[in-house]
Amino acid sequence: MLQQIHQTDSRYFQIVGQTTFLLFGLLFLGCDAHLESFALSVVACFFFQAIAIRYLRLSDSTSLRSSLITGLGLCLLLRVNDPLMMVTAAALAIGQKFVFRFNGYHFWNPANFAIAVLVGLTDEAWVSPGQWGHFLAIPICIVVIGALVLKSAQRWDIALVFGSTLAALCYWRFVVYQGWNVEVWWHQFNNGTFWLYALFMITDPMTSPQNKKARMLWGVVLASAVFYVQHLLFVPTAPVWVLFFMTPIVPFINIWLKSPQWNWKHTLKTSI
Amino acid sequence: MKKINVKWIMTLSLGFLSLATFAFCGFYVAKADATLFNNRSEVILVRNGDFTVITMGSDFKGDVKEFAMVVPVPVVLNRSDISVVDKGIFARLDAYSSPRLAEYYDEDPCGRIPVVQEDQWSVEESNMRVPTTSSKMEVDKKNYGVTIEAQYTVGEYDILLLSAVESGGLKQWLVDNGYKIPSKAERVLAPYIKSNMKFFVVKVNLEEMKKSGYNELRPIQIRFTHPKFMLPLRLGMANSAGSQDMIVYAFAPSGRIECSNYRNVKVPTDRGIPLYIKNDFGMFYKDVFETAWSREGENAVFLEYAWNVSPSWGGVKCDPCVGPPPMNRDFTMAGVGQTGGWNNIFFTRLHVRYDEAHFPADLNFLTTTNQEQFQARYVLQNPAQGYGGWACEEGQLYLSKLHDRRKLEMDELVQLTGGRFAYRSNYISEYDQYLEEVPMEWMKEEAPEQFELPTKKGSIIPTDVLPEVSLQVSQWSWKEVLGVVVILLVMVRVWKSK
Repeated sequence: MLQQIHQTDSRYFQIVGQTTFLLFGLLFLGCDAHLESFALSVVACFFFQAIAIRYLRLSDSTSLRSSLITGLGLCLLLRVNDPLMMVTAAALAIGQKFVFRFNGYHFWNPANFAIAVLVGLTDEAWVSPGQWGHFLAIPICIVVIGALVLKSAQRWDIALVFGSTLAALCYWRFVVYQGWNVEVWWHQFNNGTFWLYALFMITDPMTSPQNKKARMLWGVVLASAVFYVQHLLFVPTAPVWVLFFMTPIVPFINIWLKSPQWNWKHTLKTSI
Repeated sequence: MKKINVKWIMTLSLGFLSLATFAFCGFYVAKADATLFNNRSEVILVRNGDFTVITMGSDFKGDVKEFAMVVPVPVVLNRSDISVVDKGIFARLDAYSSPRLAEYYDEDPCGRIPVVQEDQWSVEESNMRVPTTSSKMEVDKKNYGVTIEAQYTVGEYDILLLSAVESGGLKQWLVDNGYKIPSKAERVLAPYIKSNMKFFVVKVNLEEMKKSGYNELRPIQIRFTHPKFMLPLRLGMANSAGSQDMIVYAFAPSGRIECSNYRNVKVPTDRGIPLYIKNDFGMFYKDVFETAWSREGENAVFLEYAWNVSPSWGGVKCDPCVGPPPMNRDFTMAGVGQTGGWNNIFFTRLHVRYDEAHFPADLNFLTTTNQEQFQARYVLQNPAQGYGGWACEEGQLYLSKLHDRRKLEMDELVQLTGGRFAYRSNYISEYDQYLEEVPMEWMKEEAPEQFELPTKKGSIIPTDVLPEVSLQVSQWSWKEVLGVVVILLVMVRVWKSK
């Protein structure tokens, strides 16, 4: 089974995972109010990617899967006043992949780019860090599905390093230094939005360093930055900004350490 | 020295405004204001960039000599950053944003009777006074590790701003200076000291109170510029068993203010409910809130109202209004516009019921650009009077629909209040007597024998989605979690094999 998981395009796991959470939100957390923007987001991302494949003559038609992930990622994390803003978000997310390229590859996570630009520059979009609640089951499910994604994408290392570094820093800050109960620390960690960000965006194999050691170090640096911005500068949406401002460094790390660029078919090819 | 009972956190009482009526599409008939909830506090938050204004009310009912309040604040406040405001501001904001009951009238199906009703509201005049001031700085000489950063008299209050190096010293200082500290307080004080927060300590100055001519304590307002945007709930829990209610009235230029570390949930709204709730609307809303709070796992923050209240904004300010929208005087008093950048004023009302078990961390907030307007509104639909009789075809059709509508209203009532209100079959069938032919299936309709509360505590599934199932996600045991993991793996396996 592990062999099969290895051979499967990890984007399928990610799509299943994100869809599960979206359904959970729609059924139980009152996200049904945003149904229209969800539909627009997914359709628009798919549409823009299809146009890009058609007119930019891309050989890789499997990138439609990536666009679906981007669409779902926007549904899960971005909130807008006008559902049509989701089309703008989709255009930004997909469009930037073909504008900001380094060495032939995009370096920003598409959904994160769109979220950061729209939230930072317009009055039409925002992120609600509390919207996925603090139910124990949500992080557990996210971890299980995320683990499958990362196992398949061979990116479990950055998730583990990122998660444990942030856990350790928060534990030191809240429990050891400030003297709060362990519940306060756990409350930080039991946040569904944080887990979605950590496992589906920060660990994006396209936008994290390719060299394994560099990737581990990257996990530590990102976690430290998120900790600093969120808990010392008091910005509740820290992961959005940290990821946005720090990912442009990744191509330089890749050049410096001369690692081959990630390819979604990489595992398939090596396994066959 | 006589011990002073420490009233740990902001509380405020409200007077009832006269129940004004205003017609807009429907008629406002009742409101469920904050006074319904015992053991509650009310706070006004204003946030623009990093600039924050917090107004804390008090509903302290004992001897004012016994009143004291300790609030952690992120910075040492200047004298000009502290003031007292007129209590009426809370009553006005509450009256404007309370959950509301609107009343509508059906047209007569076999002949028309117009219904017109419109009144104007009355507005209370503010009698705010400029507070008296004095200021001096001193450092406590004893070895408490406590520094008096500032000391002021503002209005009827003596105010100290303390910083401390450790909780034991602070607790001892407070005890030695006549404050009675709950036993659990030391443990809670320590994290605030380590977070580099200062302590805003308030006592009543009886002489100043006498001079001011006020018999009751006025709300205290503080202003500061700091990125931290939070309300320190945990200190308030140190001397309180059980849950407490807090109503937050918040203003920001960009849009709604929401809680960033708890889930924000809208209270149920726009539901048609039976007419006999009219006189019991307060109790009804209490039950609605309690049912929603329980259903959402007792750890959500509830949105009760959100509206653009900018004077320059052309849209309606409420629908229907239960009180006048805030005016320039209210904005000034709340602290809106004290810095630039207020092109827009967006108002949010949040309701939090918190206790130690479900709110382990303080409430953090963030401003969003969410401009969606929201109000908690419940609707009474009065039937047609039947002056033209019911015999016409439209009349018979109307009665049939009326029966169905009332059944729906009754179901809504049960669902909204968790069955706390009695089911009345005769309400549904009240007009059946005018039908020439009563459908057979109506005869068989019976009230459910016994209602159970729709969900148990901790459940997050609304009953209208899955009435028979209660999935208590937050209380899963490891076996249930393991079960989910196995199911997911099997699903993946099955999916893969296809």
